[in-house]
Amino acid sequence: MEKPKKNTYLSFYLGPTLFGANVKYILEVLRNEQITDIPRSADFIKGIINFRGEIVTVVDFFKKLNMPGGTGKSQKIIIVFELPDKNKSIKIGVEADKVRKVFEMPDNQLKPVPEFGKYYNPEYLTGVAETSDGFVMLFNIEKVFSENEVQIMNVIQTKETKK
Amino acid sequence: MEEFRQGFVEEALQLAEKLETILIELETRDTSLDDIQDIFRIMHTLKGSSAMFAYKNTEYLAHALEDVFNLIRNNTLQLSPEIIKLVFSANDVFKDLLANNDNVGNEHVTNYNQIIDKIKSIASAVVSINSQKGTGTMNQAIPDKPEKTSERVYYILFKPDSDVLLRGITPISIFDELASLGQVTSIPCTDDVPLPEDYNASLFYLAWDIFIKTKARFDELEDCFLFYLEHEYKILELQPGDPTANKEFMASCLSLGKGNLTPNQLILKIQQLTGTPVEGTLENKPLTRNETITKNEERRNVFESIKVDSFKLDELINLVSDLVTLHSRLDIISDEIKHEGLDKSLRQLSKLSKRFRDNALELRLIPVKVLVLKMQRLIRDLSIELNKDVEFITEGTNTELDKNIISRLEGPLLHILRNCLDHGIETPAERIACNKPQKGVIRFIAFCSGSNVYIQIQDDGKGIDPEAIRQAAIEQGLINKNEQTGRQETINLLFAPGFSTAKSITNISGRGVGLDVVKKEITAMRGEIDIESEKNLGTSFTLKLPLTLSIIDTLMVLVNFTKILIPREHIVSTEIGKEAELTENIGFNGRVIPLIKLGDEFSEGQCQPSGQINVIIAQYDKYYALKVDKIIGEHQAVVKPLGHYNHNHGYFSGASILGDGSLAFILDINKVISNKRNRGNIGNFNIK
Repeated sequence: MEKPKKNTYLSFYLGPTLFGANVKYILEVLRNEQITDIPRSADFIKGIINFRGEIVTVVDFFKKLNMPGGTGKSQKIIIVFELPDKNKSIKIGVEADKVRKVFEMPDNQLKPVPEFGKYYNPEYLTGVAETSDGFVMLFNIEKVFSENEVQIMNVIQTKETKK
Repeated sequence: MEEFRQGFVEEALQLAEKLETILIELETRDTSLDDIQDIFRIMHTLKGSSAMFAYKNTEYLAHALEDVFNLIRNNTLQLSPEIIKLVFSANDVFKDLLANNDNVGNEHVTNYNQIIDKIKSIASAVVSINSQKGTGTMNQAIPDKPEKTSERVYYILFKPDSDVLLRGITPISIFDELASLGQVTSIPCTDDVPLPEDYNASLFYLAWDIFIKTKARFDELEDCFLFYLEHEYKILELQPGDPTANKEFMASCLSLGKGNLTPNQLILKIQQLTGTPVEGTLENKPLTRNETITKNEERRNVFESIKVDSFKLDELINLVSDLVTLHSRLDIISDEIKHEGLDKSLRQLSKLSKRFRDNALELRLIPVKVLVLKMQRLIRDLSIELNKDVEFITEGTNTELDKNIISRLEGPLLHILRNCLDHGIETPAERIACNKPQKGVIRFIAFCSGSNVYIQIQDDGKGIDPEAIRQAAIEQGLINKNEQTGRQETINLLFAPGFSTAKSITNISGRGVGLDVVKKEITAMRGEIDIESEKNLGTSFTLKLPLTLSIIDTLMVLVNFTKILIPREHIVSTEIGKEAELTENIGFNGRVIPLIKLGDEFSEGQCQPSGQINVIIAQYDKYYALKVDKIIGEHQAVVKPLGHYNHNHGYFSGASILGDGSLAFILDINKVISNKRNRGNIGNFNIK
């Protein structure tokens, strides 16, 4: 019998909720990284960091994905994601509270995403994994970051004209 | 396979470009035998390689043209302007075919067929004339009429490169192949065989003069040499009669040049081969062998440059940038430690990395010459279309610019040229009426000054009439009727978005893309553009461009605790501000200039300024003051993109990593000013 396909995930806390992302998109988890704020940028952008000599934007997932709440006050971490793009890869950092663990999960054991949730936006999830820590909401990373940039730029521009 | 096909297409396109260069030159000067040979060779190569990749249409066209140029080469046909024109259009078809996988697009089918027909009619006309005359020297024309006529004698100079064995080729096998085609006689030339102490068994030292009597056609012979480079062999047809009449043969023949064989012995050899007595002797005939040698050397020089994937170059520049960053970090550490040996080594490292950086940057510089061909072509086509007589003069085409700038410059330059031809240069009749030479002149001048490159495009046409511009601008609502504009200011209205002199819209300029787009593109490269014009004397566009986009000199300042880098090229001076907090303008050199408070801009007016320094900047001869908190110092910034989601940031064009690993933003002066102006704070007296 054919083995069911398995994927490896990293689970991490955003506020009180445990989320997960496929490790194939994750480059590195950074601690104590100095984030430089960019004046007059979109509100979901925390700032930029110097990641191995390259400038990487750090995103606030709560604002980016229209999720209520925010990261806690304690020391935070940055998870650096790398996504394939047309000609080269895009690197984006995401601020999170802390990393929980790395786990494997066969695809056929993923549970469907509940229709509503208090602390997440179901649009951006692929499924839910049940682990010993409880339920982990798995992000659809490509979808999360494939948002049309033009739209985002429009948001910024409206922000400016409103002023 | 796909990779090879890509390579073929790329190479073929280069050939097409080379062909175009030759053609354009041919239009301005007399043809030489070399040009014809070059074109013939291009066609031959194109034919061969396209056959290999089953580009049937390309091959067919190339073959047809090859035949025509073979006729010209043999003086059977005269190169006429008509033929040049035909080759021009054929060259366009080539490019088309190559870009579309050898498919003739529906809209081009008639075009393609017409060109083929024309070429064939030229070639066959000559052949029929010749066969009527009974001379019949041409027997290798037209692909679909493979005539194999009587036997003829060819001379082949065969001189493999010394590394031919290393390429895995056995030169001797050529003799078997030739023998299968006809009767072969060869004279070896051992001149290059070195003394025993220098002898290297893996190298090849021999050369031959080969005579072959065969029914085979020229290209069949040439096919035998498929694996040899162009310069390694040469095939000449020996006409019946005195071989000494063939200058090319005399120049090529090795045995003659080196005196291994007396001319008479040579004639004897040929006689034995042909079986017919050859008239005349070879004695006292001048030898011009040197010509061919110098030509080969020239060709070798071309091979000395190599092609590198531009992506690899970008990668190199990134590495160099990291090195520069790391170096400044080391400087900071060394300041803390204060170790003499370390200091000394660091100073050396500093010199070295600076040279390394300069060298790496230089790799990306390419001469503006690469743009000239496209410009020449445009001018040629347009002047025919518009019935204008124009001479295009270029100066300083060796001036170098960053590859990225060059590629972005093409559109704007062609647009400016279109303007010159369409609006600037008058028709010959008009010119004569104005006492001007019938032929208009467009000049392209490039030169380097400081860290900038200037490009000027001048025409000696009718110039810009400020009054007409003004009227058009008023009609289009760009300026108020009562508004007074200075002369230069009026001319600059040409750059205003949406401006067009409506009455002169043609299909050449006035396609809705105006000079404002040109200006935008140039400004985006941190460049500037200016127009000067004198009525009836002409117009001159001056482009000022940075040498490279990857590194800029900046002044580092602090605004709201954020490090901001202001490009040095814009900075006029700095001063301690004394005006009250509320002013929108300050005085500078006797004029009132706008004061832009960067702190307020960045924090939407909620910041508490901690200092009061004004940095005076200039852009297009207009002055602005930027209020910042503190000046930190000079910084040579390696420009890095701002990261995802920030490409179109409202104030910054990029960021730079400082020595301590922290980040600073590079201020985009144009964005700051246009942002401010769009919100009406500066006032609209600066229409541009």
